[in-house]
Amino acid sequence: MSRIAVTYGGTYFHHETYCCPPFSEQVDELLYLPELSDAALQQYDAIIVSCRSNPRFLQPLADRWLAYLQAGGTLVVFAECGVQNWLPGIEFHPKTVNYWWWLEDGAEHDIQPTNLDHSLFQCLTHKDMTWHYHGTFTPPEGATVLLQHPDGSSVLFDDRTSYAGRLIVTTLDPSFHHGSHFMPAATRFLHGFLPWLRQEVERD
Amino acid sequence: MLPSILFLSTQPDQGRALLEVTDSASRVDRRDQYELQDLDLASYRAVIISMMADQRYLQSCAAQLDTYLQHGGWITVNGHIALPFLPELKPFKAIPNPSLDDFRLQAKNDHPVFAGIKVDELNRRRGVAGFWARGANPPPTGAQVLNTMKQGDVPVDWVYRRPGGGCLFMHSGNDMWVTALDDSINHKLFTQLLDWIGEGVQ
Repeated sequence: MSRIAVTYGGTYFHHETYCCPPFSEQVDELLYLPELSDAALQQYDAIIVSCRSNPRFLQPLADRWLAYLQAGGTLVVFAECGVQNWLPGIEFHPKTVNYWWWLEDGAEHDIQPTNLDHSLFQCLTHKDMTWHYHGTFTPPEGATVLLQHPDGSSVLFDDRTSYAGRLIVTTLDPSFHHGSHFMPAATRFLHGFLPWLRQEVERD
Repeated sequence: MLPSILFLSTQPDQGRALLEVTDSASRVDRRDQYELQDLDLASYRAVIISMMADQRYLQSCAAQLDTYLQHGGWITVNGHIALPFLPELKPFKAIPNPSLDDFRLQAKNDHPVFAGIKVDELNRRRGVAGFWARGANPPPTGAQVLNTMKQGDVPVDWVYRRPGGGCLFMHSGNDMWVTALDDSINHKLFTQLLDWIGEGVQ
């Protein structure tokens, strides 16, 4: 039986997303950020670093995140966690967050899905992954880019080559918005992403 | 004169720019939220809590916060209550299936924090509603409701005065100083909050 853990900062949006239905049933354990250094990461098949998890608790564990990935774990990192400062090979590009793109005439989000044969697209449509994003990344060499910015950088990538494990990183912030009752697409994203993640770790 | 208002920061830079642009650094002591248990709250007139606060940690400081209120302290809370950390607090209730009109904000009672602010414009940016609030933290009996949504049904902002002098100011949404598209409104709200606290007028 797979075990999926998620970082939890005690914020209202982490609580609403991961401690209340429907998504509380899709994670197995909360990792309270101030106590993260006591957690035995290796026992989890997947760990989600939830959006806006405070980097002050993540960065000191840089060696342990690396060890977790090297030992075969699946690490998912959502937006605003400063991942570029605690994992190697990821370059972050700040972008002005455009909350209003869809108000423009003929609006089309600038982020496009790529590598459409990836299994995630069996669980999520482009629309489910579209609200806004908090910067982009140049991912490690060999990573599969799933959401691409016009300048070639990535809003979501899946890296299965850098480690024995798997690294999925995005600048989307679904738990903040679902937990804030403020973006239906974020809720749809979690409805698709979390079961997909479970399916992936159980298959592997 | 020492700063009289404690601002509990949830990130290293949270509030730094705000204090600078509103020229409030002399009035506000910006400290990391996880220092709370080691602080002597009696030296502060008020405590400001952000929407991003770790409410589990605040629960661990519940006795300290309750005592502070009991001795006449003032606490301003922003955000949705998920884990109540004071006896007056109840979990947030979102408006179910809201219409755009349900998000319209109404001023029920005047208050110095909102003086000169067009309250009905606070919850919209470029036609998108919900930036100020999407529901409410239910007020305790005896609270004065300041602003409502859903045609007066949902008490978004309220003030509660404990017998004995403590005061709880609640805003059930995004931090009051970040919601308006026009930053001058955000700064005005923050400054008027500090002024109201400083004057000690209930």
